[in-house]
Amino acid sequence: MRTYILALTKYGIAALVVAYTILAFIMLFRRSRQAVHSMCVVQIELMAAMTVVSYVTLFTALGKAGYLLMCVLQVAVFSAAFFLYQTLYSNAYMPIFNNMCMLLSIGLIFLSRIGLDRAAKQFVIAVGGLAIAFILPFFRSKFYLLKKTGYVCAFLGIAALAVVMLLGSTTLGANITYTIFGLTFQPSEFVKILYLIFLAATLKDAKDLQDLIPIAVFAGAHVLVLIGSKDLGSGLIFYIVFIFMVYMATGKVLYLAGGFGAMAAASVVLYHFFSHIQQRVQAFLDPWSLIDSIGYQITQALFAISAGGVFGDGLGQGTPDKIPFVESDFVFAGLTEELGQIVGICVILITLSCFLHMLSLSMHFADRFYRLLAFGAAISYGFQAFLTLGGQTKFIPLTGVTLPMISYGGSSILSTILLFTMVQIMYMLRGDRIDEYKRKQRRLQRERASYYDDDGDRYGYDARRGRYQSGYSRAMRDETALDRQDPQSDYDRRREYAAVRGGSSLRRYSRED
Amino acid sequence: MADYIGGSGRRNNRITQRRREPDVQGRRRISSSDTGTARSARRLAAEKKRVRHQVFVAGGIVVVMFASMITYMVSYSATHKDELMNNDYNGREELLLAKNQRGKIYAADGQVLAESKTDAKGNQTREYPFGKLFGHIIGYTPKGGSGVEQLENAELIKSDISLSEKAAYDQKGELYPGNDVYTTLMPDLQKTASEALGDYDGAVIVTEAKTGKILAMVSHPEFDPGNIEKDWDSLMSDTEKGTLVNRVTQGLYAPGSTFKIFDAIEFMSEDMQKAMAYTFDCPGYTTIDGVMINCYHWEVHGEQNLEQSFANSCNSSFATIGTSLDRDKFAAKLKEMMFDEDLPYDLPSSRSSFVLDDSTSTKEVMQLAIGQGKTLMTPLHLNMITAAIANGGEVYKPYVVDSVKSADGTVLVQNKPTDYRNVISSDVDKKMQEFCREVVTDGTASKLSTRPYHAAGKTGTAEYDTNSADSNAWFTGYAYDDNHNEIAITVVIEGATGSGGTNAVPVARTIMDKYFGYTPKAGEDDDANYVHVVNDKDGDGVNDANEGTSTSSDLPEKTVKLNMDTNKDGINDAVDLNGDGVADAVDTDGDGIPETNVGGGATDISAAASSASSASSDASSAGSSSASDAASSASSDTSGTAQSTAQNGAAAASSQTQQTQGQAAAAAQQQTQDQAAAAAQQGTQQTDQSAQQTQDAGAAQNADNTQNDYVNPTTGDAQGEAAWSEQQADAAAAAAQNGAGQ
Repeated sequence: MRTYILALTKYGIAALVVAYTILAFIMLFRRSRQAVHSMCVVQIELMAAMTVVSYVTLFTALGKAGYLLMCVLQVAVFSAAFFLYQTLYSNAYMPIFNNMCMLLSIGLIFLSRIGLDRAAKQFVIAVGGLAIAFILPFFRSKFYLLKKTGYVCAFLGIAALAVVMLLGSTTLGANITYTIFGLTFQPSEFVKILYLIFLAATLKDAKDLQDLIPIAVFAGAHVLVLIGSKDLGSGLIFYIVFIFMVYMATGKVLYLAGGFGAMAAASVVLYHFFSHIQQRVQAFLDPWSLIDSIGYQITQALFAISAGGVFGDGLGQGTPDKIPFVESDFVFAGLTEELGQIVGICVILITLSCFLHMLSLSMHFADRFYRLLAFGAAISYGFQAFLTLGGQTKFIPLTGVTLPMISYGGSSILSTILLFTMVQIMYMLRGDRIDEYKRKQRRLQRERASYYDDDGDRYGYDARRGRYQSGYSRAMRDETALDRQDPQSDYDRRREYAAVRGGSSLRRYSRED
Repeated sequence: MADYIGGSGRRNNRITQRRREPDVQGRRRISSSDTGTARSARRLAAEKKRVRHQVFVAGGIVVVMFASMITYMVSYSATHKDELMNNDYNGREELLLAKNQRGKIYAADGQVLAESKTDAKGNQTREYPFGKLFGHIIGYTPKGGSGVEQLENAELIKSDISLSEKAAYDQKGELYPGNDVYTTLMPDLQKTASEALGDYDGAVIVTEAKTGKILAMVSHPEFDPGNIEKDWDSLMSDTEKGTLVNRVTQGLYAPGSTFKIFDAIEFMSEDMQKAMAYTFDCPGYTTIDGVMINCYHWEVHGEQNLEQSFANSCNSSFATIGTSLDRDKFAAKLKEMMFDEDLPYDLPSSRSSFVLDDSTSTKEVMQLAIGQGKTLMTPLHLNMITAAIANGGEVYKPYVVDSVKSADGTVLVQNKPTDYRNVISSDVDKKMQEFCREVVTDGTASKLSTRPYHAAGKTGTAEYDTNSADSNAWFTGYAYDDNHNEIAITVVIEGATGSGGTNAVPVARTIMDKYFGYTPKAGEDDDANYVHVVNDKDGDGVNDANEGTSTSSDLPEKTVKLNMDTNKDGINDAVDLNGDGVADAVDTDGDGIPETNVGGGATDISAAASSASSASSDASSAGSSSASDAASSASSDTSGTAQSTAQNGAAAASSQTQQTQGQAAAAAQQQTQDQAAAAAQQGTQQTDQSAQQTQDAGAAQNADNTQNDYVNPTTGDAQGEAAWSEQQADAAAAAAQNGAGQ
């Protein structure tokens, strides 16, 4: 029996994760709220199934009862979170919430395989993160206050980073962690959120180059302090976020291209100043000749990714702990060995789908602040994932940033959940406004209908669907005939009509009741 | 659209509140107030379009980055899978071996070539029932591994038996049996080949011409893969022998006359009509641009067409052909025929190389044409070309692993013959087959002519060391009969004291006999049968020139159609001093006195004869025979002069030697005639007295290739030494270049 479980469950896990990933991408293109809702429920079920199968495999392979406990807790907490969230916040964007839970689950499963004590710690952090995700939206009506913060965020952020640079403890050659009240955390993860708010709040009003200069100075200060702390991965993300957000605010590709050009030039300069950049580039270019020293970690990661093959060695049957820092820096390589390249690719794709969901939400925010903030959040998340995934697969040099929500580490998880919750809140606010607007429109319609309806019996008004079918159209035709001499008003009316009917942008994930 | 109209913040609410008013004015106001909003609506629509565009750009960049990352990851781990698994730093091999017992390696006939045994503690030991026999091709596992063990390591340590069987093994508490590798090797053929090669260093490869299956691959000296860890240090310290090097695939040898295959193919490919009409009147040597190359033992082949030149391995003729070929086309053809490229072979192999471009000197082109100089080949490469000749010009990828099966018999990998490339057009190939057959029926490989199966091929003798008698004896050929597949055999024997015809052909013949199940009749292989007596006007079976002396029983070839009258003046100016059927001396300047004494011929004669003609013997036969030890010591005082004069640019033609040698040479020259007669007598006695090996050497020099002796003093070229590893090959190439520079 044991033999069968160990040999076969990996296919089950792969199938479940693949199904989940496919749904995550389908939802990018489906607009019907009903369809998205049902797909989200399926996703949560797939996630629960994957968790159960994974922990059963781990229990079979390694025989610790703790796995079963983790399994029960994890399934219970995440399923409950899903349904509770959906009920509490009817305007929440569940695909993002689901992806968040899925990535947390995969991370927890893998951490349990490495060591249950760490997984337990991580689980507590994850629950704390979920609590944040639950509590913050309650106060969403005050979210607009963030718009006014602007440079305050920048000052706070730079100050926090500077404190870490001067006082923080050194981890692997970089001053990036800070211990307060016995808790070690990595402030750059949280400063990132302040930084995004700062950029969105200032760039929303930026019209030309003149407006950009002070923003660039403050953004540059962030990056410089990070470079000073030798946290080059974060510095790179901050910089990329800046140039993409400037691009978004101004619409000029030139800024994007120039930004990348300057980045290339800066990399060359930094390469000559920082020995650990040189080492990482060497380890990237030829890890095999440096396999004894700086190439060891990346080569072990490559062994792991390759050894697993398509379906992996099966949970508990590989040797992911051969990779140094597998639980933080190389979590992807480790889980690819045991869960297979299919699951590895799915993790990449789920990450990518998170990015795309956030990006598409940002596109639909009319408010520049919201739009910029969501866009920045997407870019920061996407590039952070890319830097760490690319580093582990030897696609780019290692930068030493964590894989959001999967890697072991409280700061990373909490800040990413914060980031997601921010996007979630903006979406909820938008939903609230749409609800309100629709409510008002419906009322207006009703009133208008009684106005148009000569006999006053509201004939032709479909109360259930909230609009006129034939009668209203007729009324609109009449109106058009009246205003034919004024094309402009005709145009406006058509817009209005489209809005009332539920225009194209509304159709996405809008309530049809 | 609603969100754009709505905008954000409370201002929005105010607008909608105003719209709410449900009277006539209200309706009016909607449209009139919207005329103001209309502009902003349009602006917003434009902005939305722009935002959409920007989001697509940003999203596109990230999606492309992620997509290329995934592609890179998958392709990297797929293409480097085995390499990664075999890396010493990858501990996963032990992980697998803790679960699985390393699989077996089987021969084509089902015999086990390698298997693992697990002791009570779970330690696995690898055993090789055939010991040394398959050392190179099967290889070993420790120290990074080699051969099939390394090639199929990833499969051998996996176990793909069905789950139920795995469960059964778990029940028994045993390791799962790893996957088994089935090779194409034939143990009896391998054994025959190894025994036929005997104590010589060298290489033998036997492949199936139509498929590329490797049936036997022998490299001497051998090692025992079972004791590799014990013997490792001594094997590594012994760099001279290069025991661990698989000479078949990694040994680089000067191909000698076997290279004439390439000359002939190129000649016919360039112009078939010209090639068919080609004739060459071989006086035993030829001089092109002041550089002389002679046929073996100044053997005068007389009027030769291409086929005869090929069968008799006429150096003079092929040097002439070689220099007449279009260099660009020839170089291109050689590259097409896998020179200067990695062979399509899964295990490590060396690259064959040649030098030919517009700046190559005539001398080098002549050397190239007869497979000397900077030309180097691996036996595997030559075997592939030979198989291609047998096979209508198609080169098949040689392979040794036929299939990989799980222990319960499921086929996991089934290798199929791979048609790699067509290198010879069909009309040229047809001719080549005739030529190769002619070599057997009426040429240098006549030792194969009595066989009932159809054999064809080409011999070669390449001298790699200017200071000793050692040469590499080659034979490459193919054979088939009605019942068996066509096989291609390539044999190279290092340090052979004889030629390809005498040393390598019998090895190939033994292997072919084994393969075709033929047992030679008694006396069939008696080499005396092949003595082809020439210039026997009185029909007594003995050359007239040295009537009364016995012929050597080791005479190798019946190639000799010696025209003793090289200048057609009606007077025999060539003399066969030792009665081996080959002219040892020839009167090239027409003065009626044969003034030179060549190659092995000199060694057969006495030391006196040698020293008498020391000018030529030293200038020419540096590597002729071990017997010349005595001769060279006797003539050591004159040899320095001879070499220096030769290097001064005089061609090593005997006539010139006479002129440049000064008095010493002149005296020696005068003595030659007198001594020749004495030598004829003494030669016989000397033969009896000297060691049997010496005699072999002398006779064996009757091969098709000695030009090396003559060109060498004038060129100072480092001849193609066998290089054992790629680095050594590089070093050899560098040495060759240095040599050329001198």
